[in-house]
Amino acid sequence: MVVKKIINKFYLPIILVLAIIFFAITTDAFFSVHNLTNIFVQNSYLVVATMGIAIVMIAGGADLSVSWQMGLVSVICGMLLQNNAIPVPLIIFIGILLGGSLGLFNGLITIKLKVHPMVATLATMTIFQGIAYVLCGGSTFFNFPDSFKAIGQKYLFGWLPMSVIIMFVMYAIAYVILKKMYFGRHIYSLGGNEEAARMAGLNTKFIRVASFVLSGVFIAIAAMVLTARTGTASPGIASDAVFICISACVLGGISFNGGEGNITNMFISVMLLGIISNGMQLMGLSIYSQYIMKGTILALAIAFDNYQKKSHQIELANQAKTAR
Amino acid sequence: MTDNILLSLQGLTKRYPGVVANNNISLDIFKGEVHTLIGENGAGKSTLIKALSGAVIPDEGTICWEGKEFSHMTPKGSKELGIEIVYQELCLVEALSIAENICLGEVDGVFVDYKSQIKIADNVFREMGIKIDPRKKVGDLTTAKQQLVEIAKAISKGVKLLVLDEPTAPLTSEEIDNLFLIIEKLKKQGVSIIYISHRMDEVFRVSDRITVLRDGEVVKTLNANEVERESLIKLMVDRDLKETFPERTYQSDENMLEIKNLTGNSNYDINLYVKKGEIVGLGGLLGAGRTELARMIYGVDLKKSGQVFIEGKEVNITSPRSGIAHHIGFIPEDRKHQGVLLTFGIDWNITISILKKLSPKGFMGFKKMSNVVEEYISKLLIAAPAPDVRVECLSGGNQQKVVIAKALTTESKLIIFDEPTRGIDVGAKQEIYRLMADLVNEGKSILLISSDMEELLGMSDRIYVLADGCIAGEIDGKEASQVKIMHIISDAMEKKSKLRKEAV
Repeated sequence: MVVKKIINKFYLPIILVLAIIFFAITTDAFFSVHNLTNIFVQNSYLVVATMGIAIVMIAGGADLSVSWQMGLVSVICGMLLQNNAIPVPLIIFIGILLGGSLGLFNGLITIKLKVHPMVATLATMTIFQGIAYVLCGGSTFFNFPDSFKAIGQKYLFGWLPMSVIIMFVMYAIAYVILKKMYFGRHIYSLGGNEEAARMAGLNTKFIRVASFVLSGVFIAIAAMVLTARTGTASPGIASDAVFICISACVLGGISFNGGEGNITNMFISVMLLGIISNGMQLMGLSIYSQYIMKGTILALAIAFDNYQKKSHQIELANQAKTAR
Repeated sequence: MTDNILLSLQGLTKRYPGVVANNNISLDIFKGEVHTLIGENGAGKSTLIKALSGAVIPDEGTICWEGKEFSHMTPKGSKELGIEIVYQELCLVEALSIAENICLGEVDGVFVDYKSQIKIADNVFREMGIKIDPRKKVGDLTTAKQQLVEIAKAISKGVKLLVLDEPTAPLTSEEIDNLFLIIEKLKKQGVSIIYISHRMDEVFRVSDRITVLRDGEVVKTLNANEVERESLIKLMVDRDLKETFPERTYQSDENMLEIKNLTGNSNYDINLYVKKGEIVGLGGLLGAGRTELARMIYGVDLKKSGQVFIEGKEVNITSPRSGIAHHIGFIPEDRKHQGVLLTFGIDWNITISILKKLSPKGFMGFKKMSNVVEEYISKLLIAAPAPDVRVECLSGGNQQKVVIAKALTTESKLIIFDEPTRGIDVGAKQEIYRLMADLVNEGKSILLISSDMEELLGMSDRIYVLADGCIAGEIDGKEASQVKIMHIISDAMEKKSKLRKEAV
């Protein structure tokens, strides 16, 4: 019973550890400081973006436009960085502001058109994509100042990557907002039952829009970390981020109906997906076989999660009955 | 006599971890009888029904159907035998037509044969003696009609045993009469009916026999004409309890709420007032605009014109948030969708409206929150193993108490109760009545919407009767009776049809 409880609660960390052990045994290169640091660096922007998406999804929304929000932020920052007269901190600030605005746009479309966020962001996704391509005119930007590249490439004390620090800071911020602030609880409530939340006096429209704005800020920061790390800015810079982020959210136990989801589990999920990619790559498997593996894991995780929720509910129901 | 027995349950037992839902239940259902199951929530009615439908497999006992013994049912097998269940939550596909719903599941070939579907539906409706166009979409029907479609569906499948689980909860008294006529007809055709209801008056109207369940056991099976309601209630709860309505003391001449010429989407020119310490009832048929009026006062829907005064001051309420700010609380009728967040704990549900207040500087005040939660759990006697238990695991009565607690946290002075005891067992009902009395004794005011006539008459100091979105009359609570209310409604209907004729 105790074992079962531990497995139920910590299944993701357990799978993560098993994956690490598996790849450590099967490949030589996996379990080295260099490679593990690399995994963190490569996935840091995905963690940050996933935190953003998680906020939207917990509120009962969804954001399909994340990849192209990142593309647009990347392109605009890239363009601004071509002009040496603009100080880098200002550009970063503009990038964050831009992310918030794109989120605001998503949120306003959602509440004004009264459509599901999934539908709204399907439309905005296409719009953002178009704008990004129009702005860059088919070219890619590079030659960024070192002070910008630092956020993606610099190692503090020679071993601690800047991007990983940003990742942990953003994770901590998301954690505090969702778990320690009343606003986070409003986000959960909106996802749990929008109608009841409104009846309870919550300003549901504000919360919906705010969740998108917040998410936009996270996504913008993710975009800039990625842009800085790769040293290039282009619209398609993070074109597969949307799949990874939503997969990680689902793997982390978020429900498409919203109202639940543990931010730490989502963090772990991104890392798990990253480790699988990295490990399989080291094993010499193609990117396509990685897809098969990731898809399978996702399906299994969903099945396990459903099973777990069911048994948990039965347990609670029994508790309640005995109490009566 | 044995020929006459359709279904016989022998020693049916179903245990769940920690609770015996059905304990050694033995019960006979005769052919062509209406057999009512009565008992508090949690008495084991649902489990028993589920055993019949095949959703639950009993641990012990046999189900004997027309002499044939089964250890358990399967969902398919039970339908093949002719057992059909109409649940409280109807299982219709709203996007499909009535005819398609009735014929749902009967696949014959690849293509849909609309003509024969409509023919089948027409035949069933004729049998039932009602007129509905089977081409209509189910989603466009009223709840009452949808329920008839469910029953029609059961009849078309050759039902022998029809289980009706609280069928009258969403119905008006006219629709109830209609339903009972249909039940009568089915009886004559030899169909047996298991009827589940909390409403005493109906139980006596419709039943041939009544079986009282308590804590998963059969207390007694009685002939309906040999028992009185008081003794029946006593059997159900095993304590002296009648549906009494608590005494109240507070009196004031000050108005808590006053409404002048209020018009909204479904209401026209409403004028009413509620004094401090008063319970004012809103009576009327379903669709008369009572809930719509309440929603408008609370700010869920917007008014078009008119004035609302709270404690003498005019207010402009534009959202539930501003309704709460003006000290209005609302207990919605659709508890599960509007009242609670089912997957959230009791604690979060109680405090959802005041999270901001509990959180200076934006950070959650967990200590303050748990104090508030503890306070209301003990004040309202919410029965739960822990404050963080999900609300979906609670009984209806306890869920309702959570909703009430939530409305109280915002220091509401006027509380609107919309069908506060629907689907709630007798014991919890009494507690909610007492709670309402306590509230008005503190000088708060209550606006009560109820389709349960006994409740409306018993609790209200005054009653406004609504018809067609307008106030059709006002009666003092002491003089009010069901007959008087119905008179007001029918007068209003008559007047309206006259006006219409004149207009033509």
